[in-house]
Amino acid sequence: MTTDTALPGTASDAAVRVTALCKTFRVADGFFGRKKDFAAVRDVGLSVPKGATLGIIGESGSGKTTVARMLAGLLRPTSGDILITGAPVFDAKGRTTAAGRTAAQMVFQDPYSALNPRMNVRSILAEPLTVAPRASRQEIARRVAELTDQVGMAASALEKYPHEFSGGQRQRLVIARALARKPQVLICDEPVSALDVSIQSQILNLLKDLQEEMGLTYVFIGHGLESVHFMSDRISVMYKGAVVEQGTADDILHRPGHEYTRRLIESSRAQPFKTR
Amino acid sequence: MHGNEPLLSIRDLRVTAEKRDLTLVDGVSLDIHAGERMALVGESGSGKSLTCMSVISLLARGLRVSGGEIAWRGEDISRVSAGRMRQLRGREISMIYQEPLTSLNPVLSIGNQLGEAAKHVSASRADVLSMLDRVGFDRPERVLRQRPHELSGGMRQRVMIAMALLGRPRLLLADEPTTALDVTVQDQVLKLIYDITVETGTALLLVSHDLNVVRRIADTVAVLYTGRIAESGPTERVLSEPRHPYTDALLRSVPSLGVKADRLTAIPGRVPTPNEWTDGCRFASRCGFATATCVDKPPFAEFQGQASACWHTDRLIESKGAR
Repeated sequence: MTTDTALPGTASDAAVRVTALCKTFRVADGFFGRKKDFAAVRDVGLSVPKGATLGIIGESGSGKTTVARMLAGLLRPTSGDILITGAPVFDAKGRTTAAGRTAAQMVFQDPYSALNPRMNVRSILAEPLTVAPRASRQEIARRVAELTDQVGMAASALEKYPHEFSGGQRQRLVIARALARKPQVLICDEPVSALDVSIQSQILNLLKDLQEEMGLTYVFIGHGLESVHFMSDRISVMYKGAVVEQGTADDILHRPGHEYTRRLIESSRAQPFKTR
Repeated sequence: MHGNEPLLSIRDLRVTAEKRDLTLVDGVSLDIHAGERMALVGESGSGKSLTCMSVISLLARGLRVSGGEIAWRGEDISRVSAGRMRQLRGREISMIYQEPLTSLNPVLSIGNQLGEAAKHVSASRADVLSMLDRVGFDRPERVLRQRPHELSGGMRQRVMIAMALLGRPRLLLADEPTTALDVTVQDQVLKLIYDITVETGTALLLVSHDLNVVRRIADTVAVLYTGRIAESGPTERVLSEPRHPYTDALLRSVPSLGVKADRLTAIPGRVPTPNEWTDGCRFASRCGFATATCVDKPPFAEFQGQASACWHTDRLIESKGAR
């Protein structure tokens, strides 16, 4: 069941609005340095109301991470518009705007590589606050304490370094850093797939708690259907760079339209194989 | 259900990191019978991969089997010579790995690499082609000329499966064989492993962290936690009526497609690292059933083929009944 890209509500209350987003990469083709264009993202439209979660699923190479990086202002789109709480993320020349640098923040997949091993927790959390407009020292100290508390880390953790933490604690740290500049939107790119099974539920619950407390809007990317379905109000299914299907989380699950979605659901159902 | 004599019988296996004198696998015992598909499930650091690697003497440098026995059809192979192990590998016991790209040599053609494996087990070119056909290649001749980078992840794993099964082994070891693949491809490869083990009667020891994968393919399962087996038994029973609080908590903590819950039932805390392991129950600090008794090592109690290492199995079952 493919539904229209528009969601209920007017443009003004959408926290994320993406229209006709395209990204083309120049890639080497063959040995002789010929270049060809590869359309990683084609004509993607998304809209997420404030406080809601949009899930994006798709296989590797479907373009979901490329969309995420553009939403967070880390990658310049080839064409199309991205508005976060009404403000453009890129200006006419394709530069990331001031709003684009703070309004949406990214929670990365692998907390082992996303943190600088030579910085302690205090400096990791303080660093985003030292970028203009720079906060005062007292303000930074207060905010760092607040952030560790919000993600459920002990104050004693502040002087420690990333290698002293387990994967789950590190991911809490990555989330705290993303929250430092008080973004309205978090882009979560497979935030639990690098974590142990018994830790994943803690992090998913934490994200839900934070969303409730702060009214955050999430774009939640995953390749497993279970966690995306749990987190999301609506789901967009991406396939080969395009959105092939959108709907409420339950619609996608119970009335999948696209063949890829159906296969994804079938493999998630986990019925034992039968001998033929 | 199975023949009497197990193919592989592991008793009280211990694997130690020599330099730091840390025990990483701490008394694992299991039996695999001919044609049985068993899964070892656990989180990182549970010892599931080390147990698997011990079977064909592929432990990383610095790790060694420091206790217990690994019996392959009656022969202790835990300290066997390299020569004898080479005879067993490929012909009796084969292995496929998590990341098919790193297991294949990027500069050699598939034909070259399969040929090498074929020579080791005295398989013919026709055997190689029919095996490639069996694992799902429409044009086996063409694949032989290709190099690993020309194949998708799923195709590479199919090549690895073909290579592992060329010598018609009795046991296939599979360490997270589908984890690096896309969800839908995962399922196709898993189905292939299932079908091929059914057809050939090859037994399977599958290492996985994914309960869905285990549920789909395994007849029996052993749940590992901190180097020990927490619970083992027929997969369907263990995953529907767990008798260890860890299994129970794990099952309840993963999101299910059935009901869209508001919050997940999270397991508090984290997995203790090997230097924090005690002799008592290592799940106690995260367990809702823990009492003072749990500082002593829990006994392994068996009930109708399902065994669990917990002092409080009765209370777990009781709480299920009340729910």
